[in-house]
Amino acid sequence: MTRLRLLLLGAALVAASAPRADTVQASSTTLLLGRQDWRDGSLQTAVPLYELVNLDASDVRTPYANFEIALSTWGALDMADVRFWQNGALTGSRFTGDVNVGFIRASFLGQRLSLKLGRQMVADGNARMVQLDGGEARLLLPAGFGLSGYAGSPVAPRFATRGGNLAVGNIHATFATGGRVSWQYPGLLDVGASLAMATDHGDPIRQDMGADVRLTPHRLVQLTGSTWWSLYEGRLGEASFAALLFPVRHLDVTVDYRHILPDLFLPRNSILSVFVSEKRNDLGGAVRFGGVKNLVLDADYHLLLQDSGQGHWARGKATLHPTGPATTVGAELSLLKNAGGTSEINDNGYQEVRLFGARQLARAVTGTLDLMAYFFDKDVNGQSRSLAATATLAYELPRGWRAALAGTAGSTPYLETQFEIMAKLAYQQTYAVRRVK
Amino acid sequence: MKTSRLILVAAFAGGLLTACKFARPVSPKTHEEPRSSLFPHEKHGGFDCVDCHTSIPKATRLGEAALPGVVKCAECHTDLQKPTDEQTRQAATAAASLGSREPHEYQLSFSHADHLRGIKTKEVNDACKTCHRDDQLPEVGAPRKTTPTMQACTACHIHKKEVAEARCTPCHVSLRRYPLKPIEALVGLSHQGNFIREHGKITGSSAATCAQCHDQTYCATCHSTATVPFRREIQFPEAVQADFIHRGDYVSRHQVEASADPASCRKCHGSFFCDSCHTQQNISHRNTTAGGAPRDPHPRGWATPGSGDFHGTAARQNIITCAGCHDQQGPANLCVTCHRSFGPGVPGVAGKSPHPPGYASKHGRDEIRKNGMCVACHTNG
Repeated sequence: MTRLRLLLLGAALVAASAPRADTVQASSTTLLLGRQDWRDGSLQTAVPLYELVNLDASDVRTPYANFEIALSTWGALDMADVRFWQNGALTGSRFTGDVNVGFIRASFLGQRLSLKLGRQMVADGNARMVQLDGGEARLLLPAGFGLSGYAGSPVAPRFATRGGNLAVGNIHATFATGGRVSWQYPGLLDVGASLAMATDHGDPIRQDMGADVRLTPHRLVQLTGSTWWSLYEGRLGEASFAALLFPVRHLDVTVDYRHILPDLFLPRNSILSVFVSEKRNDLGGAVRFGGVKNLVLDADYHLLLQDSGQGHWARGKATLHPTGPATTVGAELSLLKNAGGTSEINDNGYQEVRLFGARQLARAVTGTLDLMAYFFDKDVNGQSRSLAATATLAYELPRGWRAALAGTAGSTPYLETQFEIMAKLAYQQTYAVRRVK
Repeated sequence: MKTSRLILVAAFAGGLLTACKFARPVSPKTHEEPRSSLFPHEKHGGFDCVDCHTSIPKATRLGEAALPGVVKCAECHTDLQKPTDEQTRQAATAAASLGSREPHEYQLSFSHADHLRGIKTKEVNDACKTCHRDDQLPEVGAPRKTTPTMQACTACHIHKKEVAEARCTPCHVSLRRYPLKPIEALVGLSHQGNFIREHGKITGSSAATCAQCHDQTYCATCHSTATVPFRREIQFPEAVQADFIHRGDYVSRHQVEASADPASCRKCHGSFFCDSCHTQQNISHRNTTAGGAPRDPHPRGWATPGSGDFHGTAARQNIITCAGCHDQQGPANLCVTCHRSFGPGVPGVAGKSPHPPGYASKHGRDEIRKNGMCVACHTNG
């Protein structure tokens, strides 16, 4: 305990002695919502008030190291009797809050070694963007080799008990660790091998070994691949490959394939993990074309190959700026047809039609309109469609401030008529300490 | 432990306050709006660039070499100090105004001295043109577009190693302060195509590169699923062009999309995320508020073997849907009631093993004896 206090005191002194930050990014959002929630057949109204704050001070230079200090946090007050469903988190109070990110990062030896301590997210290798309270180290070695590792306790919402079935995060674990070793031939090849382990009060949650590769044979062609193997189950959990191409100017093409075993995404101490070994594949790609003035076209299609049959997931979107960036009109169509076989519960699909637009109404005022309609192949809660319309009005204030008002009306399978309002006051500014000439 | 927390909070607060105390807002105009030129280059043909820009060859930083002022002009235009005609008066005013301009803030660390030493040409103007390729020098009132593009740098300096190691700061002052737009011409840095789908793979091997522009507070708005109060779409309804995953009435279509790609849901959301809402809607068997009588969300034939909607078939097609309500960890599970073993070699329902083919070969007797979850069914190990 004494050692921990000394460590924290050291961190405090280092942070407090930080002489200057080159760049400080700050944002604050005050948000008032009036929302209707459907709960077991009855309509309830929640009116939460939020304050969200993000701060990131980077390039904090000292004679010993460069530091980065980041904090993303929020607090909320429920102003109605009914609490807004906060992503499943359990709280009994009108006041809630949490910390999304809060860490100190120190870089040494010309950024070749960095250490990060605090609440953070880890994306390296097959870590799967785990959010944890702990530490991460990253080392650039000679000859293109790199090494990174992390260890910590996966975050539980509102500082609740960690692990077990009450954890809302993506890993039901009390401890997670892993790392990645990599080698790169600059500009051409980057390969890595990674390990991700997690336990829940000693029970294994995941024991996965991964590999990834990124090959750039030409500046307009990139091939990426990643895979992971469950050491605990002795099965391949996921393998995905993608080719990103720019065959001509303003045209992007992505072709991708993925083989995945969804049951391996369940924690290994879930009883449901013993019942099934299910395989899925999807194959498809995306195209984006911006070669016509003020017009961008996006299209995306994937063939879903499952044991129960074939499904299709497709989307097309056109965005036009008829009179320049001040005006936007767009349309989006999408279709999803599942390969559910005989099972009704897995066999639904939909078609979507969406129209959207934005227009600068005055020098500092922008209005938007968003109309969405979903038509379901099979009824959802006895209804075949979901309609929603959202309008916003945003006012740009001086010195990085912005105010917005939004209203939504709709008719959905769970709410015959739905109304929501939102008022927002946001501040976003980047600050510089040193003037660079 | 309270003392430790206090120290930690003090560290953060102290660090942030100290870091911010000299801060001033960065204007986006500093690098987006080029200034207009005050000098008629066309009329001064025949000179070398350095005849007027005398301090450029020795300048080790951008901004260090001031533009030529009145004194330099007066070397030729002797009447500039006491202008006698309108044209000279305008030139004198322009030259004098150079000193009163707001100093430019530069985004790059660049030494003209080092570069001019390294370029070998017969004519000094050709050395300048190695990077400043525009033949057309700006005239009075025209925007000064004399800053070469990054392609001018990469024509000589490949920088493959620095790009691969995400070390941009030797040249760029800070990509956090002046973020570049995603580079369409470089496949690795383009954010186009289906970037929502692909960015995870790229981040897995290039997190440090992403961090050059994006700090983790930015990633957290989507990825800190355990701690955020609501989804991103609620915060930004005005972002109509953005490709949000859960836009609009996602509740109604979540089951449809979860059937198409259940693994993607599980990458962010655990079972309790689903179950907590299902419980509120009284469709989870764990709801006790309605007298322990939840509504049954399953189709007819759910418990009838041979039915098209038999739960065993549906579970084998998408077990993650089941986990949305039935994922109590450990043995306290509804499934165990029927599927448990009734003795060595005697599995539960209809004498059929609930495990997938090949399961027993990967989970031997030793493991079963050690694993409390297995023992709940296999009571004799």
